[in-house]
Amino acid sequence: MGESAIMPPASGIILCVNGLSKRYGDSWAVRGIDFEVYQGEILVLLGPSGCGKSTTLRMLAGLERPDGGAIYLKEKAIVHTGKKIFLASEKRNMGMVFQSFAIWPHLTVQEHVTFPLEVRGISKKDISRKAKDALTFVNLSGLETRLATQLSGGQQQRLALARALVYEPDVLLLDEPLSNLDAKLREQMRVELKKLQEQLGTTLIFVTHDQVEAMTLAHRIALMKDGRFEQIGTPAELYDKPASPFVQSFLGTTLAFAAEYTAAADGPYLKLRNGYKLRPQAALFDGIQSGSPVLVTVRPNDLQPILDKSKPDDNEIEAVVQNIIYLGDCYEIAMAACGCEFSLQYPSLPPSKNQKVILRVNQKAIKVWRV
Amino acid sequence: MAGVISAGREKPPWESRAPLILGTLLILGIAAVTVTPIIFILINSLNVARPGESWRFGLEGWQEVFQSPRTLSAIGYSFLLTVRTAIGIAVAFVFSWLLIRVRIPFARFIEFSLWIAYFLPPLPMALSWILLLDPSYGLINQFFQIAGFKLSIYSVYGILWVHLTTSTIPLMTILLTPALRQMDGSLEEAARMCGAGYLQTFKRILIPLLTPALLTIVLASVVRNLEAFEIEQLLGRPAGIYVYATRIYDLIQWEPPLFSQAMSLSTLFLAILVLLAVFYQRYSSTHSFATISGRGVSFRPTDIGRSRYAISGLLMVFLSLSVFLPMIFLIIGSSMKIFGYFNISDPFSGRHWLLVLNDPQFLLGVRNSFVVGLGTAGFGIILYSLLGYALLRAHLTGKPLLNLLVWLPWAVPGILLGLAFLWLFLSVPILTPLYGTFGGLILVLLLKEMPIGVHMVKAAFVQLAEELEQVARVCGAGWLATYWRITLPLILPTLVSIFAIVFISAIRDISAIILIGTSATRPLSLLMMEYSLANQMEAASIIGVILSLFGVGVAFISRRLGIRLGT
Repeated sequence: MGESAIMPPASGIILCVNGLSKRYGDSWAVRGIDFEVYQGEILVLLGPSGCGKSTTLRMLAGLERPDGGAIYLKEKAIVHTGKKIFLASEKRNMGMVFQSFAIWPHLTVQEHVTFPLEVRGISKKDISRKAKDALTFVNLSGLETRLATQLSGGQQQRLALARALVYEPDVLLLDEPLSNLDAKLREQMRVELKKLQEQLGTTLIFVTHDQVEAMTLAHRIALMKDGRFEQIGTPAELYDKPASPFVQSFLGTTLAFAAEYTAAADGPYLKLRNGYKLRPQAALFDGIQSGSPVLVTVRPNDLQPILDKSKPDDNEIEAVVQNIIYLGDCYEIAMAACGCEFSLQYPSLPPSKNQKVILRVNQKAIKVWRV
Repeated sequence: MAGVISAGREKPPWESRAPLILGTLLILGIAAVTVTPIIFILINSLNVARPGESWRFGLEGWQEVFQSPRTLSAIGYSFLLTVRTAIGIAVAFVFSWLLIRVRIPFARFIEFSLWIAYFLPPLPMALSWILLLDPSYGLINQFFQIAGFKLSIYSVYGILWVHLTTSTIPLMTILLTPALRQMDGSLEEAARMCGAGYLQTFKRILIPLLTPALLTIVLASVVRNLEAFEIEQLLGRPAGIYVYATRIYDLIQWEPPLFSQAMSLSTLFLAILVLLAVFYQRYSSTHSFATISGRGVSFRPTDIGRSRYAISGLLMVFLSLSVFLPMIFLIIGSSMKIFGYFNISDPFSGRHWLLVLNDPQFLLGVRNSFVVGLGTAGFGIILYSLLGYALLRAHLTGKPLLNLLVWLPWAVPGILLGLAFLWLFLSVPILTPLYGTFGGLILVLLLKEMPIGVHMVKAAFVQLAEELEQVARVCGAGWLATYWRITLPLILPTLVSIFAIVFISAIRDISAIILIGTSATRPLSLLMMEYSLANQMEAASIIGVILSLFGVGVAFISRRLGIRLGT
């Protein structure tokens, strides 16, 4: 995962969250989460829709009142339900970029960036200097007098960013800020955002449901499900050492097979449907009873096709070619094995439809989960 | 991390109860003005004492309601006349479908004319129809006389005709067009592609999908119909046709006034109306005008060749009957020597205009109308926007109840509201000073316009994404700065529209203030009513022209600012 996996240097804790929870009627949107955010890092809250990530962000911003827990910003409690502390949004010195950009239709570009400075009672001279800097920074100088609604989607996005950065907030909160842009622009903004953060060193908390976005931007990812954290860590940690099958499958295509664990004399093995045997590293079986059902997960790129072979040995499975798609530089082959359907990329001319192929499973990549 | 809690603003313990306190205060305040009149009518239907005397129990009022033949026939006519809802919805449905789904010439002009029709006060239109269809001097009747028959505007048909053309059909069309416009046209196109013809698409796709909208409009219209007053008063009375609203007015005119019977009749209809209204609100909140769409709602109106001119022509004919013809004849009538007498030599003159414009009564009426209109609209805009804001954005307990209370006056006909307040002013000593003052009139009109006013404010807030306000809060603006610099500028066009609409509703209202207006506070609308009832048609139609021009002006303003009714 390269650079993005490296933690930002010399980082103190800027934000600390304890037991934060939120209820809507009878259902809990967020169920008591704890985490810390380090000065200058990008923390991505990742998860499927309805997992509570946006609610968490809105509680940090002060737009939702938590039903339990505490939030400390720079070691001061800004929310503490037990002590009835709730600091209003405008007093938190945070910045926020909304999914819809929340561009004010009656104000010009210039007025958008001066608004937060004016309500802070900053002197006129500083206002015009800071506003100019902010607009230059996001490449919008020259458009000051335009009505903000006349800007393109990408420009509106940058304006929303400038408005949130102009007063140097302690933490910048972004709620799926890229999902309203088209694919090409999104990729470009991702790069710009990352560069921007490196220059300014602002702490970013970024909500998204897109795992690619999370992987490319994050120093750390907190993966959420049903109002809880499934795992929090660097992208590499989540990808290589997922804490659950959910984490693994959320961060990339994952095949999951039902299997039975057997502790035989010649070493433990997993028996798949159709009788294939997998022999992963023994350490994975700690605490699992022989004969109990387990779930085996593996990623498609850990499967290696073996040509000219008709019978699978240990650590090999047989798959049937279902469809072949020519992509120009390679072939994509849809296959089915043990009740699972998946695609592999083939560099050369693949076997024909309905033909059987033996796939070797990378022994080190196999993961075993209790059911 | 532990032990560092100081900096955040400590919330005093009572603040967590703020929503409850605020909610309770609002509920009590609104209930005081909306529920009290209803309870008063209810209690006094069992009272046989006169106002000012102490309360005395008796069932005479109720007995009289069911024994008086005139009252019984008024109840019957009230229901008979609601038949216009059925006719109206059928016509309005066809009209709105044609307007939205077929490419016809002048579609925008037709839509705007309907909008004008909605803003024209009903009484002047009825005056104009008298000019055309009075059995003795009506202009159309003079032509028909040659053929040996005549029509009379003073009949059930006449009342239905004036209602249908001047308000029922235009209003229903205005309410239906947004529902149709929001409905994704591809739903109909898909049915056509599956092989269904126009008629089958209508029957199996369009009508079922629009049923919620249709039913909501029908219910609203039934309630509105049961509240009508001035047209029935003007056209029904000469023919002995009373509806319960005009019957109540009649009962109050007796000397001494038959209060207990009026109150009993009011209670009966209040019960019916509140039931209908509660059903309406439950239905419309669960089945609301949900946007029925597949994806992007875009619809290309069908091109239908030459027949588009025929359709456009048909709609123009209707508009002529509902807006242009009455407007023109109202102006003609106002400049006649004797209203309706075309066959005298030199029938036109500006004499009446000069007389009316120099009449101190008229000048006083102009002043009074402005005081009442500006007062109601001014206080209204403050009250309604605060209530709308409270109902949608504020954190408070009991919102559903508050919503119901705010909306309750919608079910109370103007004449009953007026009756209740007349009684309140006469029998509650602290309120007596309000009788005969502008304060009293404005209070009643504020209540009457509250449901629609608050509804429009809420619609404006719904359109305004909450994020626009939230982002202002996050970047450091407090509640007040956010309201002043973000919320207010964004809803200002709506507020101006609401001001204009409340103003025109207030200056044209008759039914709510006819019982409490006095000679010192009498606005133009009441003066017009009095002139019409006294058969001074020339003067009445002059005031009618003036009030209609105000209506047209407001139609332009609100159209310009893009206000929408219904959705």
